[in-house]
Amino acid sequence: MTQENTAKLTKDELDDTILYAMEKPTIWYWVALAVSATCFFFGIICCWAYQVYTGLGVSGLNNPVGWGVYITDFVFWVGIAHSGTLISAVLFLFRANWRCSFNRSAEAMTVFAVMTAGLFPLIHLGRVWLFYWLMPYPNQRQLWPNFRSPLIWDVFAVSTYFTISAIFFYVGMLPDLAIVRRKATGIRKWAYGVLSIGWKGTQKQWKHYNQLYMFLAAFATPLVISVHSVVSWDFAMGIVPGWHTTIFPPYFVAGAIFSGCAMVITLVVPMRKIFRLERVITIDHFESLAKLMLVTSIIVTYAYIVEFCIAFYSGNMFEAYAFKYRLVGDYWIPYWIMLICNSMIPFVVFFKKVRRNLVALFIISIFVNIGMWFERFNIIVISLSRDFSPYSWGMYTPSWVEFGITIGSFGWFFLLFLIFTKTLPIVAITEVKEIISAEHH
Amino acid sequence: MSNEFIFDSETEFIEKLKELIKDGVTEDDVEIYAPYPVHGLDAMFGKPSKLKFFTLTGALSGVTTGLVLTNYASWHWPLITSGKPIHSQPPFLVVSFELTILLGGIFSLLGFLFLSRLPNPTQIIPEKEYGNKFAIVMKEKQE
Repeated sequence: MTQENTAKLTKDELDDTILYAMEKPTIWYWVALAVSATCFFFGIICCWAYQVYTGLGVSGLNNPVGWGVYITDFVFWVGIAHSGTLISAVLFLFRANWRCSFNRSAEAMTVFAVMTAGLFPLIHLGRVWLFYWLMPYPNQRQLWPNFRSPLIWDVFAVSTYFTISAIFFYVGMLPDLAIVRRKATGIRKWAYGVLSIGWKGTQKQWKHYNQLYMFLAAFATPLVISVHSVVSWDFAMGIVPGWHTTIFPPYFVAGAIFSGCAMVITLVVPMRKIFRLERVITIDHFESLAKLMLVTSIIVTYAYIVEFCIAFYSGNMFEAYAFKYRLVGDYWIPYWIMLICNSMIPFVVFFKKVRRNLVALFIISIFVNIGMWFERFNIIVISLSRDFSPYSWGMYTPSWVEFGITIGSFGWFFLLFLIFTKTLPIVAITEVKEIISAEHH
Repeated sequence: MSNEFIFDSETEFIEKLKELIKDGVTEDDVEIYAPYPVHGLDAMFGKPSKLKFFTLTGALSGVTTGLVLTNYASWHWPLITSGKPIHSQPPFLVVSFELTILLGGIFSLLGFLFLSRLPNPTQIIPEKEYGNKFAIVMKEKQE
């Protein structure tokens, strides 16, 4: 991998290039912030408050479709989170140097996406004020949660994932916060001084730091695979046709990384342009990311085909019917949107010209985001709407409250990300320096 | 100052350090500042980090907590679902696995903070910073 552009920067220039993003925001930043905040306010705050006040009946959920857009959103956002950990931890263990221009934004994305995902099980609760019943704690009625239920595994998996990602994000940022502190003045110097907890960059500190970073990466790697496997078991442990398959864990993990890579592209392409990071985040880096997206797209497509093969070769009429219904049934439109967005459009990335064209990548990444949202919708809603007995079949249409909350979740996510770009270093400065120095030798 | 060496280049810094080590300087006699972790520096001073013991303790307490919690809770409130055994270890392993990672990660972080003497309130606004330079500061010998 060539990195001539990066190598031309000296260490001081690099500090200034990256910290340029933290200078006074332009009017467009405020516009973007206002739009996100508005979506968040009307979506999450107003719609959710209305639902809490009125009851879960304001959503389109019914019997048999008890899981709808909320659970779709939950799986979608947990999936988005995954590529952040992949880029920061797995590629760290593989020593893939191109990760260092993305890993900070990808880690931020992970933390914010898990925060967004964590809202949805709460939104889906009829009595949200009793959410703490999910946690195991000694109580007066001497009840404990059922640890054989995948929903309890989810509580453990998602809360562990959030904690470890947040630690990883902060630890990776610690030396960079000290750089911001060195450059800042006045009250900001104090704020970043407190955030960087007195980091000096001595040899002894680096020694422990390197160990810590390696251990966290080693923990995060199996964690990221376990989290989406657990999410997939929410479905695969049930006997509903279309859910009850053993390929769900790898299929979900690949899908998660696929959607996450797309989201990183969606976020970083404009970020690079706005904050003039062309010399730090190069086209080569995007090309590597696009290849990762392509590989996961192929895995996901393979899973779509295998699902059908399993269903038809199983000789199980319910299973076979479930998949025929997906393809040509009442919900054929979401299903075909998914197929086109996830298994056809991303294949243009096979062409080198497309891989190196940021506008094209940005547009493809938007399609992938849409496609992956519909993938979760299809798995959840289509399977539930037609199970074994025709007597219990039923249709589901999301209500405006569900749409509002979904839009609100995007507002919340982008709001957090926009605040991040102005308050914290958006590229791992220290790691880029390390790479530059390694290339000089 | 005679007891402070500052370098712009990593190569010169390493060479000087090698020279000092040859003269019998140990890790405790100097304070070394670097803008990023310098490859091979840890190997020059013998002592490896003790962080792994914190990590191991955390991971072991995590897996123990997980197994004890799930088994105790199922014994304390034996709820039979779908005719499955009360003490089903495979699903309990999922919870134990997550707790292994959770406590392993938290213990590692705390271990790191302890070993690196962080947070350090006196260095919130440091008096002197070396920025992007490499520095070797000889500590004053106490006699």
